[in-house]
Amino acid sequence: MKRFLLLLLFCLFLTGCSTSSGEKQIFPICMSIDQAKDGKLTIGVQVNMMSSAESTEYTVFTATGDNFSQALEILGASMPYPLHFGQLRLCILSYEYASTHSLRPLLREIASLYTIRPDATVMVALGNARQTMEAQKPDLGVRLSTYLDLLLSRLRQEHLLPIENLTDVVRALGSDYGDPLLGLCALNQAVSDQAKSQQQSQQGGGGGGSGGNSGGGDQPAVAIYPQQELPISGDKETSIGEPSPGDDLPINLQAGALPRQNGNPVEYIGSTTVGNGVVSGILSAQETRMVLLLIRHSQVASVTQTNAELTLEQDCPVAPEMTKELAARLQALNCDALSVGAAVARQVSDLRAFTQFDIESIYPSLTFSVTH
Amino acid sequence: MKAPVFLARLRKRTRRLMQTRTEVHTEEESIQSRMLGRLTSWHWLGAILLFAQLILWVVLAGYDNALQGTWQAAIMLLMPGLGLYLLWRAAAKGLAHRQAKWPLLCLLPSLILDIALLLAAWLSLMRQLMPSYPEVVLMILCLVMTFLAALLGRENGVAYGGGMLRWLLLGFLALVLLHANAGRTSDRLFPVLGHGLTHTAKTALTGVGAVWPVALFFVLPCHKDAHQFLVRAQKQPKTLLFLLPVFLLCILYSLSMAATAPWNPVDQLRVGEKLIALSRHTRSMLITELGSLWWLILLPLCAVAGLTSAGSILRRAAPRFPRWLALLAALLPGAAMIVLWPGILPRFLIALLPYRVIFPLLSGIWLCVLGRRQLRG
Repeated sequence: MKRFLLLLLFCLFLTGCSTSSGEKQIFPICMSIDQAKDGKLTIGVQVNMMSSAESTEYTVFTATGDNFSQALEILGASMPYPLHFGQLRLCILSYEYASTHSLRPLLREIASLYTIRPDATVMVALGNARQTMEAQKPDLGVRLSTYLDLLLSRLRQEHLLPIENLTDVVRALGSDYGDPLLGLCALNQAVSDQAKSQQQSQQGGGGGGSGGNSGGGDQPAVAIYPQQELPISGDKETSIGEPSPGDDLPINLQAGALPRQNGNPVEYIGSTTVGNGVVSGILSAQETRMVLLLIRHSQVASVTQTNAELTLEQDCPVAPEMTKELAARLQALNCDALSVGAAVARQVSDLRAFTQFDIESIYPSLTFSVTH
Repeated sequence: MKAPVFLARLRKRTRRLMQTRTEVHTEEESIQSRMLGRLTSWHWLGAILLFAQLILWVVLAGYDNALQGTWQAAIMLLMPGLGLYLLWRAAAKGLAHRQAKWPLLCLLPSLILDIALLLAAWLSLMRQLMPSYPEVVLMILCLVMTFLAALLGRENGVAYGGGMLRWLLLGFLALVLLHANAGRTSDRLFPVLGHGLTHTAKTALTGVGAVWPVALFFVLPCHKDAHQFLVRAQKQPKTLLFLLPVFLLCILYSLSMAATAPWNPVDQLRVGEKLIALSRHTRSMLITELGSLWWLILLPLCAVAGLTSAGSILRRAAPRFPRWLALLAALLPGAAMIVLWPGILPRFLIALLPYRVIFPLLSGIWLCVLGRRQLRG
């Protein structure tokens, strides 16, 4: 009798962890955050249309509110099924929003969603985040989630994308130990126009797309980025296919300007720096790779009020001269990607001494010396 | 090799795996072996109960206060833990006294607070993992499951269950601790002293209440027939061998918390969020989910164990109490707390928890006095 009652009790576990079945929930793959008019915020979610088992059609739903919670409530209220963020792969912030608003409160709010996938990637989009997200087209017939998993994993292995996920970024933003780098993505207008013209010609329409090298959508947001020299399309034959030794990238290559044709028009390469809790600048693909390698193969040995000593490992692929240039570049962007703050923490005995050192204010004026 | 020979060998090896490791040749040896096995299971349960309380203190109060110094506070807890162990080692002689049931009743407030804490943490975790369910449904589920599991289980069932799950719990914990500091950096352990040694010592004081389950190693099993076989048992497991690894695990867990820094104290995370925060930093969805599963096994097991122990203590003091009534009486205060004041855990309960150690202290001293009287008398 007791065993029978216990077995009955176990039936309670057959309901699963939700009141709704999987078919009656919406699983966004990507989320976008844009600055709307009047200081409001627009969030977008990209969802599989589920028109068939192998459907690769995605649609985007958006909502605007005074803040993230309100926008999410409005979005949830307008959806037929509840949102479940357990399959979220990418959270894309527009550069305009990320460079003018403190990132931690927003990302902390996202990370505290009950169903959030903690290892989602955070990226900054050049231009409109929603348009960038909407333009994503998985290559080779795989699902978008699989495509992003594979691509982002590969880019991280190649040191072309920072390794930090959503929880890592929230943690880094909440301490003075260092600043995170966020991945960079952008719409390659040339590839997008080419795809549209191909589609039109297949449908019997005319016209062709025009080439372009800016990474933005129809937003006039290019002007707010730090101006960078972008490569001219077709100037150099560069293939990003087989794992490369790392020396072949054009110096100023960044997302939205890869000289290529066909495929996903959205490119995820390079990174943005974070300083004082906001996005402060852009690093090209080569710079990103060098900085990520430097983070891996170096350590700040000691810090004083005027000087920071950076020690490179024997097998560090970044030369000392390049190290100084990168350190200066990061300083100019007020981004402590090399964790000088952590070095200060190692030197002092308690948190009071760490606070008194005030690394945040002295960091921009430090002189970096590099040793092996 | 021919199939029948292979099958015969396989059957023999399988049968060998299912057998106990010891061999007995007489009935008395068999009884002693079973007693030792039973006592060892209860010691395992005591270790799990102690570990759960220590870890809950680290997650809910210790880390927020001490940050980098959490592991130092965990080391400091060794002192009250060993002190309580020495007191109860002397007090154990008093357990044979016919009046021993009254000092044991003094442990009830600590057990009731433990049950309340475990239920509240379990409820918060369920809310975190299953937000679409109404809170009332989760509340009823936690309370009814705990009550029914304690009621329908046999007297030693919870101990055997805990003993069976010990390696699973240790395995999941090891996975989480190994992967939690995914960046493999020790930066966040510094500054080593955190807010300073004085602050760390004050934080350790808040955890003193978490060491009280040391007394349970000497009290459990406490159902009505337990004392007779305790007297008859010639061999008893070495309590220190169970106690010290628990404290070591607590220190390792605190070290992992300090190295990972899963949240900022100003974030004011929900209780459920705090419980799974460490496993969220493993960069592996599988280990994140195993971390949640680990809590989902640990918390109900400890809640049932606490309720079973409380019910046994009540029935030892008042044998006429039916079992269901004793369990209900032990469960009601904790249930009332979480039903009437759902936000009780962060605000009130944590402040009350350090005082749990007073009751086993009083009980231990009382039993020491009874033990001396028994020696003289």
